[in-house]
Amino acid sequence: MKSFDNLQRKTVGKCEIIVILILLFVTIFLYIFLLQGGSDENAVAQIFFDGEFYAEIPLDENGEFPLEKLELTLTVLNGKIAITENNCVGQDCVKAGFIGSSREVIVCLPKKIVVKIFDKENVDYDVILQ
Amino acid sequence: MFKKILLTMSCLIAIIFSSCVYNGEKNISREDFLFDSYVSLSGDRISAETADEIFETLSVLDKEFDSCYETKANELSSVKYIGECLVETSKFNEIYGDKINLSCGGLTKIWGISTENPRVPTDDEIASAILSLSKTDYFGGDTKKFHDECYLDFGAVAKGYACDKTFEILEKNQAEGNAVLSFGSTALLFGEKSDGENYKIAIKDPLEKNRILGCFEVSEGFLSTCGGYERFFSVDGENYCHVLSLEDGFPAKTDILSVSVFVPKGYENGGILSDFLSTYIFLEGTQNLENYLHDEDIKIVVADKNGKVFLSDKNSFSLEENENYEIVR
Repeated sequence: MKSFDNLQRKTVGKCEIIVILILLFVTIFLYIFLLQGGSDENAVAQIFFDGEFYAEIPLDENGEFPLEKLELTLTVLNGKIAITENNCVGQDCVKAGFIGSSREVIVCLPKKIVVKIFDKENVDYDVILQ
Repeated sequence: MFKKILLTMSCLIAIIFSSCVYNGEKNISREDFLFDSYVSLSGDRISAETADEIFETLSVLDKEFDSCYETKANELSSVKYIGECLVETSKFNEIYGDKINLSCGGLTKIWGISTENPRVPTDDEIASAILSLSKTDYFGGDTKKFHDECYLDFGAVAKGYACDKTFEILEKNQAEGNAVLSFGSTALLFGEKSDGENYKIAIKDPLEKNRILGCFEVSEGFLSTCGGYERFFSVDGENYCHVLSLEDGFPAKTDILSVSVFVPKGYENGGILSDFLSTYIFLEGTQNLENYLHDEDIKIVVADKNGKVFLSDKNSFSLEENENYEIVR
């Protein structure tokens, strides 16, 4: 009877360890990937059309990115991005030039297009007055 | 022992989960196209209901101010915010002067600077638009009393007034977090940042749009910048900016490139004041700048066409490395 008790306690002990390990793993996973916001990301430009996310362009490689549906071309140069061609009235967005810091935006009002920089490693300013 | 460990681990997971869920619900980020601008609201611990109320109010404001371009002042039917904004702005006119006049819509209309077809109007058109201006008491906000041909234009203060209304909503709803409402050229900074730091504000270089002129730190309050470089049109090589001088009815001939004004929380209608002052100083040029640079609380940064940067007293503004500018104390 005594030896049976000991055997039962020993079996439960293994389960305890497994449950604790699982919980520990889950805790670490949650901490790293949810609370800390995941792994490092390079700066990207996000393009929104009429309030909806449309595309994302990494800023670590120079090049031209024509967006046919929006009828405009974006150019990435040395970690910055600009709207270099657009068929909109006024061309304010083209005149806006290159942007490369968080909080900076290029806005095309007539076509309701917004280009934003997303760089969570380098949030330099709370507001950029322009 | 097992139960204790299990309980501790469960609590830890619950805390982490709740932290994540808490952040997700309370960090707010909204945007829209209002006031001929892109407007964004970002905040920490601001409820979705408060954000909804802010954007509903901004939308109503935008419609009211927008109606002024097409409807003569004395025919305006909805004047809830228009009347109030006229009255509040008239208080600043009384202090600073009449270089800004919200009854200048006729002038804005004939220039069409913010429209698809801007043009240089004739002298006769300018003369009759100037005749339709009212005094800057704005008849106590009673739109029925304006000149028959008068149109209103709130361009000089609309975004500042929108910041004031947003501030009111945040205070009324007892928002405990912080929020930044930005129109690009005008912004509201509400509440203390969660890290306890000041807000870091950058000003774009008016000559080279790819660069930052400099930056400064401020507390809660209202920001506004005015310059002739953002909205303008060109005819025969001459640039015509969107800020009109009421003396001759032409775009302002100023020696200033950009003016940025910060008004801290505590001033009545601080949003209107920052917007009003930035435009007013831009119109006046550097000639009268001394009058504005010695206020205890209001911070001012002015860049002129000779590359001089003028700062108000107690201003922590620091210039980015830039061969085009130097700070003048």
